[in-house]
Amino acid sequence: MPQPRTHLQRPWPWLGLLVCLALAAWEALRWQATASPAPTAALVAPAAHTVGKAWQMVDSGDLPQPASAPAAHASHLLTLPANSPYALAAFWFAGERESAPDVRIAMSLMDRQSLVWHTAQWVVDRHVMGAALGHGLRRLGNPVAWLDAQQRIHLFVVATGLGGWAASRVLHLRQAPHSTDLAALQLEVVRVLPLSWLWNTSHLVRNPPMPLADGGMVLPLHFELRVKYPLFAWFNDQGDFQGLRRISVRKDVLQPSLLALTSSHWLALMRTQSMRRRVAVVESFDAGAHWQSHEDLALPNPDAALAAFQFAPQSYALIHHPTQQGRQALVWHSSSDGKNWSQPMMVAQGPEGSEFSYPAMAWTQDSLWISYTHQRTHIRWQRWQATDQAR
Amino acid sequence: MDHSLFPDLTLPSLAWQGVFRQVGWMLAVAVVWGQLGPSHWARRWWWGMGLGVAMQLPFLSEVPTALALSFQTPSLWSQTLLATVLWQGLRAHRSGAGAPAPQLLPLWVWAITASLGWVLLLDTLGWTDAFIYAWGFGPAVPVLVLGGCALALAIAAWRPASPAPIWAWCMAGAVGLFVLTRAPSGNAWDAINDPWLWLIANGVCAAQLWRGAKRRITRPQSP
Repeated sequence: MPQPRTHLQRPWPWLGLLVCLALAAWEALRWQATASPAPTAALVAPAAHTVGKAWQMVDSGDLPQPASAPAAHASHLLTLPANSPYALAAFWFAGERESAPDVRIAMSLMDRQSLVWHTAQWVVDRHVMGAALGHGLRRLGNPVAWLDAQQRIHLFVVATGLGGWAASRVLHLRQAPHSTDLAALQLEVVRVLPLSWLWNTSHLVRNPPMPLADGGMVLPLHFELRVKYPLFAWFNDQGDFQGLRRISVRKDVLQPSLLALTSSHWLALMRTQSMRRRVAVVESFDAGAHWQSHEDLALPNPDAALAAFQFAPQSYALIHHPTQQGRQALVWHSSSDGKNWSQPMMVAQGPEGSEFSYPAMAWTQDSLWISYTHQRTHIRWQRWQATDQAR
Repeated sequence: MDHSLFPDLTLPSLAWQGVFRQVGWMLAVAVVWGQLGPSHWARRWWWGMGLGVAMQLPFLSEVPTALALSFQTPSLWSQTLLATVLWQGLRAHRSGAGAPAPQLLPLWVWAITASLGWVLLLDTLGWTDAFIYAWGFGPAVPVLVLGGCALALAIAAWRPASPAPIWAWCMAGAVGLFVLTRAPSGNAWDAINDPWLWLIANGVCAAQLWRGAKRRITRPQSP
C-alpha cells in the first residue's frame, strides 16, 4: 500500500507559489520605480500679445485636395517647430466619401517663407498600416497630430474594426526614424491604443491634445457605442502612454476640447446630443482626476464638432455652429474664463443645407490659422491677425 | 517599426502583441475543432491542432487576421485554459480514453469570471462612476490576482490529499505572462478576461442553474 505523500514531497505547488510571489513583488517594485506623476498642464501662451485686441481675416483659401478624392473632412492643424522649413501641417481624411474603403489620411505642408500650401500627400493608407498591425483596418477617420520632445510627429487616427464608427479604435502612429524630410513623411505603427475591454471598440479621437508641463500631452477621446461619454489618455514627452481617465459621467456628450485655466484647473467643452442642444462643459480642479458637471453653456450646438484654443492664460477662443440645427455657419467667440463667451464673429456662412464643419485652430507666423470642412468636398483655411484697434 | 520586446514598461510591443494574437487564435480554432468534431472521430484533437497551426500559412492567414480585426486577441487566461483543454484532449487520445470531460474550472471560478465580465461591460458602457478599466494599467490587479493564485497553490501544497487546482496554474501562468510582456494590450483586465470567455462563463453558469432548477422540479415529492 503506497504511503500518502506529505506536503514536502509535492514540490510543484511550492515552486508555483514562490514564482507567483516573486512576480507580484517584481510588478509592485517596478511600478514604484516607474510610476509617472499625475499630469500637470503647461500654461501655454502662444499669442499673449493679442489679448484684448480685435481680429481681422487677412487671407483664406482651400487646401490642395489630393487627386481622385472627391470628399474631405475632419481637418487638424499642427504647428511645426521654428527650425522647420514648414510652418504648419494640415491633416484630414479624403476619399470617395466618409467611411468609404478608399479613404486615406492626407497631409499638406505650409511653406514658412511663402505661406503657400504644398501639394497634398497621402500619409496613412489602411492597407499598409493594417499589414503592419497584423490584423487589418476597415476604415480610417479623424486624424490628430502632436509633436513630442524629439520633434517627432505622432498621429492618432480613428480606424475601425468590423462595423461602422461604433467599431472604431484609435491607431497611434509615429514619424519613422529615417523619415526626416516632412515633404515625404513616413509614419510607423506604434499600436492601437487600449481603451476598452469590449474588444477595444467604439473609441474615437477628434480634438487636439492639451500640452503638459513635462512635455507630454493629454489626448481627448470619446466613446460612442449607444451612449456617448468623454475620456482622455495622457502621454509622456516621448509619446509613451501613461494612463486613462474618464471626463464626465454624462452619457450624451462627446468630442471634448480641453482648456487649461491653470496647471490643474481644466475645462472640457463638448459637443452634445442632449435635447437642449447646447455646448456642454465640465470642470476639473485636480488635473483631470475628478470632474464637475455644470449647466450647459448658453451657446447652441447642433450635435456637431467644436474647437477651443488657448491664446494665453485667461484668453481663449471657441469656434462652433451658432444654431441648434444645421451646419451652415461657423462663428468665433472669445473668453477669459472659458464659461462666459463674447458676442460671435462670423467665420463662415452659407445657405441652409450647406456645410461648414469640424473647425480646427493653430497659431504660427503671428497669425491664427483656422481650417474647416467646406461642403465635405475640400478643406478651407483662413488666416486671422490681431489689429491694434481695441476690441 | 518597433519590434523590440521591451520598448517601454507600460504597453506591449507590436512583436508581443503579434505573438499572443497568433497563438491565441490558433488555440481557439484547435479547441473549437476538437470540441465540436464528431466524438467517434478519434483524431479530431490532432486535426484541430493541425488546423490551428495551418492558420499560420499564407493561404489561411486571413482567418486569424479577420478574427483579430473583430475581436483583437483572446485574454491570456483564455489562452492558458485553451492550451490546457487542447493538451487534455491530445492526452486522452494517446491514452485511448474517450472524449475528455474533465472539470476545467469549478463553478465558483466560472461565476467570478462571468461577474467580472458584467462589471467590465457596464464600466465600458459608462454605467459605473469609477473607471474600472483604467485600474488595469496599474499594479493592483496583477498583484492581487497573483496573490490569490499563490494562496490557492499554498493550500494545495499544504494539503497533500488535494491536487493543485488547474485554474490556479492557468491564471498564474496568464498573469505571469502579462507581468513579463504586458500582452495582450497592456491592461491587466484584458489579460484575465475577454468577452468570449465571459459569454462562455455565462453559459456555464446558466446551464448549471438550469440543471439545479430541473432537479428541484423533478424531485419526487415526499408522501
